[in-house]
Amino acid sequence: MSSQGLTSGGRSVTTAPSGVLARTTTALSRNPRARLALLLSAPMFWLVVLYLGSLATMFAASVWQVDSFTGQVQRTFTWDNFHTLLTNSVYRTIALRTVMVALIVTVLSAVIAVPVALLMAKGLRSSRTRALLVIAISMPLWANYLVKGYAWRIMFDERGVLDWALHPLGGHTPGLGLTATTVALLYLWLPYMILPVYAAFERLPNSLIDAAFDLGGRPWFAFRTVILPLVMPGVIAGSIFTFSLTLGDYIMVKIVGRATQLYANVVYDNIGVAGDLPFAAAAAVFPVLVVVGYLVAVRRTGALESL
Amino acid sequence: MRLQGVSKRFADVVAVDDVTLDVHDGEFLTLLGPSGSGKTTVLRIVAGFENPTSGTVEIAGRDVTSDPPYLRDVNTVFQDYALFPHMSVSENVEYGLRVKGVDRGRRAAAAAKALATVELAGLGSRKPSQLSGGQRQRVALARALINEPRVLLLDEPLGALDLKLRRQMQLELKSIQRQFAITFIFVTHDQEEALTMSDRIAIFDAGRIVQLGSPQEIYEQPATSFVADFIGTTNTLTTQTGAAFCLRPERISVSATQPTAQVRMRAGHVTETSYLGATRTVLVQTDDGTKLTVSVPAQASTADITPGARVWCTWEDTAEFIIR
Repeated sequence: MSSQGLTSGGRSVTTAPSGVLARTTTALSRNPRARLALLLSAPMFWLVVLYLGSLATMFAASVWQVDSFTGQVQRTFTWDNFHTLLTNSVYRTIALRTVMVALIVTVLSAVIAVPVALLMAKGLRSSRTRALLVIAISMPLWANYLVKGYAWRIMFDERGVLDWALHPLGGHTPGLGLTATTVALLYLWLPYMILPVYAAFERLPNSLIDAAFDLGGRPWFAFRTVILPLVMPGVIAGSIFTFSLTLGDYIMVKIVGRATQLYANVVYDNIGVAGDLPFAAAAAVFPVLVVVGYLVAVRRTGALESL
Repeated sequence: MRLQGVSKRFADVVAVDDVTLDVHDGEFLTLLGPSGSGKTTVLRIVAGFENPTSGTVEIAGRDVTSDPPYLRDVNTVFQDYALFPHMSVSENVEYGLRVKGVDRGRRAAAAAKALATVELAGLGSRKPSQLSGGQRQRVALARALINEPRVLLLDEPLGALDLKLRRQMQLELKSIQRQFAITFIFVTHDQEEALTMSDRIAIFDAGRIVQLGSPQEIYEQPATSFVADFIGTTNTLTTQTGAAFCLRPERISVSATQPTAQVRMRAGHVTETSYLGATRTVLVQTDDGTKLTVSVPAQASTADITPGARVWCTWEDTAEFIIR
């Protein structure tokens, strides 16, 4: 069939192919598998060699050690790094704190995103207002990360904007620390939650909402039984972003967290200050496991199928 | 059920223009009109999805104009069926009872019974995505009927089905309507469907009801040229005095032999014939330049009625009707 297609295609193909290029072209057009393999080679190289390769290197390095005298990496197998991470209460506390912050950021961003996305997708008659809201929500993504970080520092600082605003009401800023970090991270990752939830609402036909009301469902009942289950895949897609981005962040906490440490700081400090790459690699295994565990749990719910 | 002076404006478009309509209990009323004529908007106003700009909606003698959909004793079968994709067929059908707080056991029994009514017994555990279009349509019907609404609204429910299935569902809908003695308000743009199923038809044009009556009244005495054109095919002829009258294609006889002189007769030439199975359509160009569409039984002998043949068209005086 493909040879028929070729002969009818044009005169140049019907004549015997001459030269390497012409022969390769003919071979590729006749063999869809070879064509696909060639097309995918660049992204596959990226994924397998650069991404999975470096991940494997990290896992390998996590069971090595640094010689305390020479500072050289010794490539001998040891569980010491993991033993320290698991038994030292400092690391356990930081790990627990980080997962808590990631969960709080994820839950709060979902709680904010669902009504906002519902309003954007279903509440507005004017598509102009809708487009403006989408732009407004993605606008923070245009600004520089550090600028946003220092903006939040000014907000939460002892004599900052928040203090000034709350003072007449008899309130005070919670100051720089874990609260400020959580709020700043929530602000940073919120668009990553709103946009997939908005997309999920856009995909939800209005007639389903009408049907829930029509069958006697009051607004809250209809929301709980029809609307929320159907936009859940969007919430879960968003939560993968907010959760893993929070797990990996170490800069915002430096800017607005005062002395607070999150888990990524352990990784960063061991690379930079301590120069203990194997320990940093061992520390970095933890967030990988958490995210993989999270994805497996999400997969169980079936939400990934509708992404 | 009663609509009184209902209008609906969207921005600068008048979708429904001063519609007043009394629907009798237990009748099958069809809202028929081309797309954009306001019939679906009227249905959505009755359901409570849209608020009328002016006018009132009464159900069972009570003004429900400002009631939300969940307080109205009406249910809707949606054009796209609107089945909840994350629920099984049974869960879909039970939804209305779940809202009312009926316990699980009675819900399941009622759902099984409703599914049996629409001939889907045993399919309750499937997901809507595992059903065919016709089956989904039946689930949507069962989901609405289980609530025993006073009025059932159907928004072009058969539009997505193929012709054969549509014919079958038309008959089934009609028998279900008689069996449950529920008022049906049925929206369609298919005039044949409207004629087959309805007790009465309301013809919509540009947001207004232009004629309301039984299928026979509407077909035989169309009130306006719009109705005459929309329902079936109409031939418009002029008398020697210049007055216009109309004829339906099946009320005209065509013959290749000249009949004895009659008043109700036109001579002309056949321009085209087409075979439609049960009938044959003959297009005739009369000597005074009028184009006539004539419908004759297919089995009638038509060997000499071929394009170019000289023919005479005749009709009874009762076949003539005049429109404003």
